[in-house]
Parts: sequence; C-alpha cells; structure tokens
Amino acid sequence: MKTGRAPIASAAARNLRVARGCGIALASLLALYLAGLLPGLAPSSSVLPQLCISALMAIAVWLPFASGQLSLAQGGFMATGAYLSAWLTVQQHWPFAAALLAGAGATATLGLVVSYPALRLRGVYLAIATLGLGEVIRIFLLNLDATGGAFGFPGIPYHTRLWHLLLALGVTAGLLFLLMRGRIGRAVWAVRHDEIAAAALGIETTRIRVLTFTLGAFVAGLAGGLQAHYVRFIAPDNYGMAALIDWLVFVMVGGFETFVGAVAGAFLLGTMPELLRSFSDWRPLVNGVLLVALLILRPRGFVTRELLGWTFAPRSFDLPVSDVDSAAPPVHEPPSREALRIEGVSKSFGGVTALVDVTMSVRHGAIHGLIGPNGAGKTTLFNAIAGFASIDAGRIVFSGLPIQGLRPQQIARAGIARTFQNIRLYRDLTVLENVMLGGYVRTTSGVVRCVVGLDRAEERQAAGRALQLLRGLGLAARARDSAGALSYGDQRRLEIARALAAEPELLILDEPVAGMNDRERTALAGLLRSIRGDFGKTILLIEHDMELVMSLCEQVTVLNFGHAVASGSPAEVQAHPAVIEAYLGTPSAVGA
Amino acid sequence: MDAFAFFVQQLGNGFILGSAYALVAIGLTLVFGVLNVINLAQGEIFMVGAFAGLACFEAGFGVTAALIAGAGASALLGLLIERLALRPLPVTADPHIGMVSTIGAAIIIQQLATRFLSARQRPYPTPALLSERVAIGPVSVDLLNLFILVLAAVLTIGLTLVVRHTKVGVAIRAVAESPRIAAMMGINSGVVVPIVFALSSAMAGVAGVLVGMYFNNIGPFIGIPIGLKALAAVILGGLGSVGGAVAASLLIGVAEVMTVAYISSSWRDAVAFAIIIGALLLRPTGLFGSKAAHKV
Amino acid sequence: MLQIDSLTVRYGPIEAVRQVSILVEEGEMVALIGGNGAGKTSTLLAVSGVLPSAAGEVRLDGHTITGMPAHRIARRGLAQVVEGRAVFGTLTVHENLLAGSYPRTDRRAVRDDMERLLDRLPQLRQRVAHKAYTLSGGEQQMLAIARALMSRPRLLLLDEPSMGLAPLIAEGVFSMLSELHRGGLGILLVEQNAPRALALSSRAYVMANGEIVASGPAASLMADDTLRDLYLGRAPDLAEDRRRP
Repeated sequence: MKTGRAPIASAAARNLRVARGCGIALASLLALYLAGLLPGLAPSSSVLPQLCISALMAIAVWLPFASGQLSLAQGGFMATGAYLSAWLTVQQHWPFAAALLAGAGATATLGLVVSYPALRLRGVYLAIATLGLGEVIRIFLLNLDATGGAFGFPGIPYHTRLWHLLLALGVTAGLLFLLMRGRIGRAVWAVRHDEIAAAALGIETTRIRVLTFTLGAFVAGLAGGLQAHYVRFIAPDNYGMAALIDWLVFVMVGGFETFVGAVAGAFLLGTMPELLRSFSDWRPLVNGVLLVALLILRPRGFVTRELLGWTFAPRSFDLPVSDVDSAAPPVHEPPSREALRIEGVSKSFGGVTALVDVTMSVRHGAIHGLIGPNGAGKTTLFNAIAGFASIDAGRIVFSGLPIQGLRPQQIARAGIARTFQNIRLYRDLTVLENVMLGGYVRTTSGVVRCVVGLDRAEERQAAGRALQLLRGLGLAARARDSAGALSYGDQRRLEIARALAAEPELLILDEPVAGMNDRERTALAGLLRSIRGDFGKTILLIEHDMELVMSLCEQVTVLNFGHAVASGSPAEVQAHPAVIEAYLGTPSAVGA
Repeated sequence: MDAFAFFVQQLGNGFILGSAYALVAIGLTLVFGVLNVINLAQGEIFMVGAFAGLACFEAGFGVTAALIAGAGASALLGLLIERLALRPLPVTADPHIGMVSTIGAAIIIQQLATRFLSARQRPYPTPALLSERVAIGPVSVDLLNLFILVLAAVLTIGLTLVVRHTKVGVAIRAVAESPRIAAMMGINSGVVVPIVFALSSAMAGVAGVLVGMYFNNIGPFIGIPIGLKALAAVILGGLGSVGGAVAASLLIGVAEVMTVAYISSSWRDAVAFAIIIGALLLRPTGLFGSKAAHKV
Repeated sequence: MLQIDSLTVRYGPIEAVRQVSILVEEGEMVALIGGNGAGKTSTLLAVSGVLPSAAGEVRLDGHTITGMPAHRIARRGLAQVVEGRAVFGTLTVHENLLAGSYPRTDRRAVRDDMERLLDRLPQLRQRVAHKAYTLSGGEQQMLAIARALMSRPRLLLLDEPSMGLAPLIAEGVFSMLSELHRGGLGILLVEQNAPRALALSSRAYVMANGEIVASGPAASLMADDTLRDLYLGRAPDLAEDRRRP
C-alpha cells in the first residue's frame, strides 16, 4: 500500500538550484577577486595566504566536529604548532620543513593524548573543557619567558610562501576527500548522528573520535607553524577567543556537513573584511548582521552534502557474481544446536531488579519470541545480549562463545545484529547508505587504504551486496531516497535490511511491528520467515502482538518481573497458568 | 593584617565576584533550559546593563534607579535578541546554530556599544550610601560588598522559588521539556520564552551595575571575560541546574581571587579552567547535571 | 460539537490528510481507525493546532478554530493526549496535573478536581511527588489522560492510548475512557486496537491513505467482513473473549 511516494518536491529542488547558483556565483566572484580581476578591488598580497591559513584552521575545527565533538582547543593547538616550530627554526636552527612537521607532529601527539579523556565528555561539556585547555595552553605560553612570554616571539624567519600554503591546503583537502567519501566517512557520520546505533553496527566509536580529534590537532599545528613563518611574529593573544570564534563561525555558516563547508566559510567570510574595506569602521557590525542573516536563511550552513551532490555510496556497483550465493540454502545444522544460551542471568540497577536468574535457550534457525508485560525485563535482556548493558551474574553464550560483558562492537563482529524499538536509522542518509553502514563489520578498508584510494573495489562490492539485499526486501526502488522520507513500515524494513547487511547469524528485533496495521504485520511476518528460510538466520524478537508471536514463533519465552516464567511452544505457553496470570491477571480480577 | 584575616578577606572577595558571576550564569542556564541554546550574548547584555546604570548615576539618580535601569535595559535587549536572532531559526536546526547566531548578536551589540556608548574604560561611581564600612562582629566589611552579596542572594533565591513553586515556574519547565505538548495545555511558549529571556537578561543587567560599582570602572569589552566565566560556571554546574550554576560560580569566583592573591594574577584564568577541566573529567555532565535530561 | 470539514494537511508535497470530514456530537464517543501511515495522527494534530492545515475547516461549537495556535485551541475546551503519552518527565505527577490546568484561574476548583482524579487513580496518588519519568508506561498513560482532564475539556482527543501497553493495563485505560464517556465527555479516539475501539464507540470512521474510506455505526463496521479483514485485524486478540463491549 503506497502511502504516497513523494514526487520530486519542486520547492526543495528549486531552492537547491538557487543555492547552487549562488554558490557558483560567489565562488566565481571570489576567484576573480583573488586573481585581481575585479576592477577597483585589488587584493593585497597577504589576502590569499591569510585565507589559506584560515581555511586550514576551519578544517581543524571541523574535523572533531564531524564526529560529534566540538573542540574549542584548536587555538591552543595552533599556538603549540606555531611556537614549537618557531622555536626549532630560531633557537635550534632546524630546516623549515622539519620544524614544521615536528611542530605539527607534536601537536598531533598532544591531541592524541587529550582525546582519550575527552571521550568522557559530550556536547557543551566537551566544548568548555577544550576551551579551558586552549586557554591553559595560551596562558602557559604567556608565562613562558623562553619564547618571549607576553611580549611575543619575534624574528621568525620568513619561510612560508604562497605555494606552501596552497599545497598544504590542497593536500589536506584531497586526503580528506578520499578519506571521507567511503567507509570511514560513513562511520564518522554515523558516530556523530547516533552513537548508539553506530556501536550496534560495529563501529569503534572511540577510534573514530580519537582519529578526528588527532587529525584536527595535526592540521591546527600545521597551520600554526605555517602562519608563524609567514607573519614572523607571534604572541599568545593571537590564539585566543576572537580567532576561535572566527573559525567556529566559518564552519557553522559555511556548512558543517563536509570539509568543503569549512573552507568555503573561511574563504567567503574571510574575504568580506577586504571587500568591505571601504566601510572599514562598520565591518565588524556588518559581519555580525550577515552572520545572523545567513544562519536564518540556511541553518545547515551554506554548503551541504546535498548541494555538492556528495554521497557515501559509490556511483557504480559490482553486483555479487551469482544470485545463488546470497540465497544459498542454510547450512543444515542439527536441529538441536543452540544459537544462543542464557544461563542464570541477573541484573539490577538503581535499586530496581530487572532480571532474576533468567535461563533460556534459542535454537539455531528458529524464530523465538520473548514476551512479557511492560517492565518485565525484556529490553534489559536484549541490551545485555547486544552488549549495551552489563549483567551482575550468569552467562550468555552465543554459538559456544561466551559473550556476556562484551562491548556492542564485539557482539556485532561476533555475528549478532539488532534493531531498535524506536528505529535508529540515519534519517539524513539514503536508504543505500544506511544499508552500507550495516555492512561495516564485513568490510575492512581502514584509513590508509581509503586515503590512497584502494578502497574503491571493496566499496563497489559492498554497494552491490547492499542493493541486492534491498531488492530482496522490496526497497531497491528507494535506494537513493533519504531514509527519513520513507513510510514507517518501510523504515522498519530498512532497519532490518541494515541489520542483515552485517551478515549476522542471529538477528534480534525489538518490537518490529509496533505501530503497524494488520496487513503490514502479515507482510513483516512473511519477511521474517523468509529471512530465516532463505538466509538461514536465527531470529529472536520482543513483541507485544500476541497473535503475531503465536503464529510466527516456534518457541516463546515469557518474562514477568524479571523472571522467566515459561518457555516452550506457543500452545504450551498460552495454556501455562503463570503466563495467563502475568499477562491477563487472574480470571477473577477482570478489569472493566 | 595577619594571614588568616587576609585569607578570609580574599574568600569574601571571591564570594562577591562569584555571586556576580552567579547572576549572569543563572540567566544562561534558564535560557538553555527553555530554548536548548547557549546565549553567548549574555556577556554583552551584562555590559549594556552596566552602562545603563552608569547613565543613571551620571544623571544624578541613586542606586535603586541605576539597578532598575540596568535590569530594564538588559531585559529589553534580551527580548530583542530572542525575537531577532533566535525565533526566526527553524526548530529543527542543529542546536549549535542558535548559539552561533547569538555570537552574531554579540558582535553587533559590542560594535554598537563601542561606537555609541564608549570606546574605552569609563569610571563608575560607588554611591555614597554604600561607601561606608560596617562592623559585623569582629570584622569590618564594606557596605557595598554586603549589599552585593545580599542582593545576589535575594534574586537567586527569589528566582529559584518562582521556578520551583509557582504556576509560572511549572509553565517554564513544561516549555523547557516540550514546547509542543505545553502548547496543548494552553501554555504559550511564545510568551514563556521571552519571559525567561527577559528575566535572565535583567539578572545580568543587575550584575553589570553591581560589578561596575565594585570595580569602579566599566568598559565595552568587559562582557567577554564575564560571559566566558559565567558559561564555564553553567557547564561546570550542569546545564539546566540553577543550583549548580550558583555553586559553580562561587567556586570559580573564589578560585580566581585566591589565585590572584596567592599565586599570581597572570595564572588566574588558567587555574579556574584547570579546576573546570578536572571537575568535568570527574563528573562529565557537570556537578549537578542530570544525565536524564541530556540535550545537545 | 466538533466539525472537521474537508481537512487537508500537507507535509511538503505529500498530502497526509486529504479532504477528511468528521463529526463528533456533544458527549459522543467516536473512533478513528486505520492502518499506520493512514493520517490519523496528522488529523488529530491539525485539529489541536499543532500542525497547520492546507485546506478545510475545523469548527468547535460552531467557532472556527482552523489556523488558531495550539494554546488558544486548548483554552477553548479541547484537550489531546498524544501518541506515546508525552508526560513532562522532569516534572512531578502533581506538577504535570497542574500544567494541565494552566489556563484555569479557579484555584479551589482546580484543587478539587486534582483530588478527585487522584482518588480515582490511586497509583498516581501514591507517586504524586515523584517525577513522571519514574512512572511505568501504564501509569504515564493514566497521568497523560488525567492531565488532559484537568482543563475540564468538553472534547478529548486520544491518539493510540493503548500502544505499547500490555493487554491488562490497556484494559484499565479503556475502562477509564468508558467511564469518562458515561460521564458526558465527548471523545475522539484514534486506536490501533480496532475491535476494542469499535466496542467502546457509537460511531466510527475508517481512514486509509489520508482519506476516509468508510464510516458509520460501530456495530455495523464491526460486522462488515471485508472491512474487518482489511482494517480491523483478522482474529480477536487473546484476551478478547474475556472482554465485554
């Protein structure tokens, strides 16, 4: 039943064209201006170098933000790179390149060290803590007489030429482009927009965060060193709040979805002071007004992924060689083989006893239902299986492997995939990108391979597998639509498709039919049966819909107040007095 | 003066500075509560309030008038910021966007202030009424200091009572949680949000006048360090927690003054931030922040 | 009392609600049923003013309320309990109820109403000073309904009050609704549990794809087999036998 496949929204498409047109116009204007071709407005020779440095710093601020960390220490990092490289060239007489790299490298190391405690903080708390760090660095330099303290560090040799800056910016942009367009870029986006879903997909959120944080520090240190050897005199106050606010504004106004936004913001907003030179007194005021106005017009920043037409999926795919492969008959395990065994699991938190000595067993290739009244502990058990909650006692064994206490990422790699009660899809990504994210644990391209472009083959294969999966679930036609535009029922199917992309042995589903009507439920039940049959999966699901559970599941376990009160076939469970009491109350205590 | 008396005196100064920060910080945390936005123009609102008070003094009026002028001017400014820089933003925008918009507002205000109010530091009078010293037990205290502490305490407690125990307070907290559901109860967030903004700005304005009287001078750039410290206090105390903002403000004020007195003034801010970093690492959502109410 | 006339609601280019007309007389209980994505929630949200309507009119007691902001509609005697309960988690039960009575100025009567509701709902009285997020799903649902009642509405809109609740708890909610209806409150009930909703209501409308596809007395809709199969669910629920209409 179609709930209205949206025709291309003409208003949105027009806005996009207008924005793209504006972008091209502005970029052209800027290029003309910088080339000195605009009559009456000749840029001074320091404009382009300063813009490059600003752009590098904007990238430095953007990088940790891309994975969800707003780090305001970048001023301090820039200062570190600047002072260290300057000290090396001036006092230690190192050659420029070596000093530059040493400065950037040391800053990156500092960033790496700081990134670990930073993991404990989120959002504004992280922002303030990093702001504090930046200030502490700055104040430390203020008091460091060896480099001039508050009087600044003069006499730095003029080494930085325009081509150094353009090269640094170009290489940084190029490497980021290569890195961010595939598997790692997807993972970074996933961590930023939903950490929990990312963990369930097997993405090592810690590593991603540390990566972007350290890279950001490196770029800042590099920019600092380059700038120091351009302006030849540095002082701690150059790296304070005012500069930081500039960079932050570049990123927010330019667009925080890609590094292009940061660069665009730096170039456009950085040029404005020059263009407005005739209004010199009013410049900051106009800047402020423009800032507010731009944000109201385009709150996601000027440059969005949509504007650029970028996607985390490759343009061409390699479909899997033979269809037979993925529809292979399941390996015939003896029917008594256990996929999942839960032994004596107990868990309490905050004074609430959620699970008490729960024991149950899920057979391989079965569809097993987990039911019980609200608050019975079903979701807690799920979270324990999926690695999102620890248990106080007992064991959880998956295909012979104890998995209690493992992290969600390890559980994902072990072959368990889950869906969430509240649907944790990446609404701004396309259907295809979401499914490719699901395949994260089955792909291996890391930072190095992405950056040198060796990930393309794997990407195309992953995309092909994803598309084939979508075909199997009837979503292939919507592959390039954004996930948020799908109907509720389709979103649930997409989440299952994403879980299947991990090629798990066990699929655990949290209330997969909540909110669906009868026809959709039937369809989903059929889908689950075919997943079990065609793909050979074991399925464990939580549900409230008794009819669905009884007709779909071969085995059912009932939880009540944290205890497993019954386990067996649906018929057995339905007739079990403890179950009737748990769910429906004793016959004499009928409500209404 | 012996070491102990010196310590006590510095402690007192720290509390005074801290209570000024607290007035600014409370406003920040309240606005965050209802709008999920950190108002980085709060420091400038503080500054404008101080100047309004100064104008009052120069026109020959007394303390009360100056405080009212400060509160009123700041409240008006706050309402303008809410209306022009925040309300037009779409509800679904990334929360950092609202914050950056307030940066824009702050830049505008500061530029206008430098142009039309004063480009440099101006002297700020302490009214004769408050210039005396008063003996409390064995210690003699400046009446001004006492006044600042008492006023800050009264305002803080008053505001907390309003938020916790009145119907308006319930409305504010309802809007903070969900403007949409609150609207279905007949609560108009288009009225509640500006009220909160006005209250929080008025507190900052009063703080401006008090700080002006305390340091005896004021300048157009004073908003930046004050805003920053208040922000740090809000975050250290836990976003959305009024009590936390107050406690953290006092802590920061005392740490600052103590650093200046016992170490050196050039390390003042570093120590304050070091404390903040350390505290956050121990309690990542702030001293009194609740993990349940996580925003941003 | 409530007249929805050719209401159309759009999300961008998508018409979620298309020319829907619904009537709820004074003191009537009317059900609005249909599959997920049919537009039922959007209809309710448009009526209470949270969503803008693209076309059509909504009249409450003869007064046009289309286009009025939500808080003004609430003050005219319309209360809504949204999907998923949506209580104010960080406010206590008492404060939630107080928020529900916000536009009223008769403080003594408000207090009396609150007492009566808490008497009727002892689980809430027990937790009256606790923050609402500590309540269980069923208790939150009761609180959401009680909160809506605090404004002394004449018409109550409910969106899937039984969703996510175990059958026993859901039954408690339905019996409360039944009682309220008997007391004279007009109710427009959106429910996924169609048989249950039909059993409680006198009339019903069926929505699909944003449109009304059937309407009439609840009993005859219940008896209609094709309609039943398509929209109402094929077999009675496990607990159905034990319930009486």
